[in-house]
Amino acid sequence: MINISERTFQGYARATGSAGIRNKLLILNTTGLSELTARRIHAALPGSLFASTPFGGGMLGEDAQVHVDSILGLANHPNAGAVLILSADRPRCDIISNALAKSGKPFHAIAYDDVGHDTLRMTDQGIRAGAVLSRDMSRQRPTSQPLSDLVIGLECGLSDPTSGLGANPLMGRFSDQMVAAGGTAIVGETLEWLGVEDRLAARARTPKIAEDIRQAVLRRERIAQDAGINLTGNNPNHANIEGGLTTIEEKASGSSAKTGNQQISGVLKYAERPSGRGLYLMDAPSYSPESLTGFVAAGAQLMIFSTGLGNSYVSALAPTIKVSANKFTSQALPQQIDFDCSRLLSGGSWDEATARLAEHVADVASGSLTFGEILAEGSETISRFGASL
Amino acid sequence: MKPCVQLQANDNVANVLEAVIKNDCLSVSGHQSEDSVEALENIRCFHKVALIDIPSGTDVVRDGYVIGRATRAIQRGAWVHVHNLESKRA
Repeated sequence: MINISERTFQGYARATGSAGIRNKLLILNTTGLSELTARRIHAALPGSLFASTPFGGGMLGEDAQVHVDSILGLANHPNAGAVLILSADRPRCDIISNALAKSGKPFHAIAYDDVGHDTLRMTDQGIRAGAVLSRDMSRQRPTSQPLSDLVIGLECGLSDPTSGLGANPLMGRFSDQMVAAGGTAIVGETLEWLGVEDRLAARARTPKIAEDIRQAVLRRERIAQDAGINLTGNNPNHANIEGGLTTIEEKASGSSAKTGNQQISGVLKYAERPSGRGLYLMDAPSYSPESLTGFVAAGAQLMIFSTGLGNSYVSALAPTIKVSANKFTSQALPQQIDFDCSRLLSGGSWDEATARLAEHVADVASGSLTFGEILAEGSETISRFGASL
Repeated sequence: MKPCVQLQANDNVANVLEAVIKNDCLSVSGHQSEDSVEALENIRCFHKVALIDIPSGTDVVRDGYVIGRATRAIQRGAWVHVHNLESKRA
């Protein structure tokens, strides 16, 4: 067993307090109009990370607020040592710039308004500004950081029965150890609390949190009913069913094993930062691109992502460790599955696998690459919750 | 003998850990039972097998959770999947 409370990793101290496990320039595009220019700048700066939203104008109310909060969460992400903000309009730029100025993170912001709406001028200025940010940022050296300071997102995608039998309970055990050591873990995918909500609610720290869990599931269920959706075939989807899952209750029972057994300290809104340490649920869509970005915007530096059938998608900002307990998948996808725990299904030791996963997490936190990073399979997608004007 | 895993004592289904052919004998491993069951049909790897007869309309239980209801009578040793099991919620 590794003792997580005494374990450290080599990370990058940040003014905001939570350390980065990477030190990257983030090209952050904040309006749909400027996305292609931003992509051009990103392509000219190898090694930079890219996050973007295709939206901007015409968003309303809570949807608009969540979107801005999510963008701020990405801008403030500890794995980004510096940020190049791109936008169509100056006011949007200012919202992000003002927040970063407060947090002390190096940044440069360019809006079409600043360059006479000339995409080529923005490209030129962006590449030059990004180059300077990158060079300055590269002078920072990693230092020893407590592993228990990490915020870890726990996700599953393209699950099959091996996820519930092996990979998810293993993540739950690791999460239990992290939380016991003062760490933080976030689990989302609200629809996959359906059928297990009573047991999750029983683990809530307060009656209000228990009620939040139940209400979140009811709201999600109502959305499905109002849309007239029979969940079977939708969630579980056709691939889950092919793999051997049958009902949403079955999928949820396997999925919720990721939460382990610790007390639940709160239910977060999409992209909301945990107020303290511990195990948190995030009320969010189940689809991995949206789900992971919710965790990233909430400050998660690293993801552990289980798959039964294989799933190449990872977060752009947070290195994502792919875990599978399906021996066929681990063999078939050796450059996708970072961590094979299939021996758990043939009598392998849970304690040994948990210790091995903890070592792997510490290793990745210190700079060892995931296949998702190497192959650049990452992106960020901010969820939408309403219509646009 | 091929392995299948029953997670909790009151589970009436188990997950097979290898592809199963009709008439294969399955050894049930897991927490409580030391049972074996004969497969009535082919069952794909990791899919579910019924450990006891499950009457139509009754709960199917896996890992201590009710995962749905039987839409028809399911015999011990049968493959349990979307053709004979449905959600109680969806």
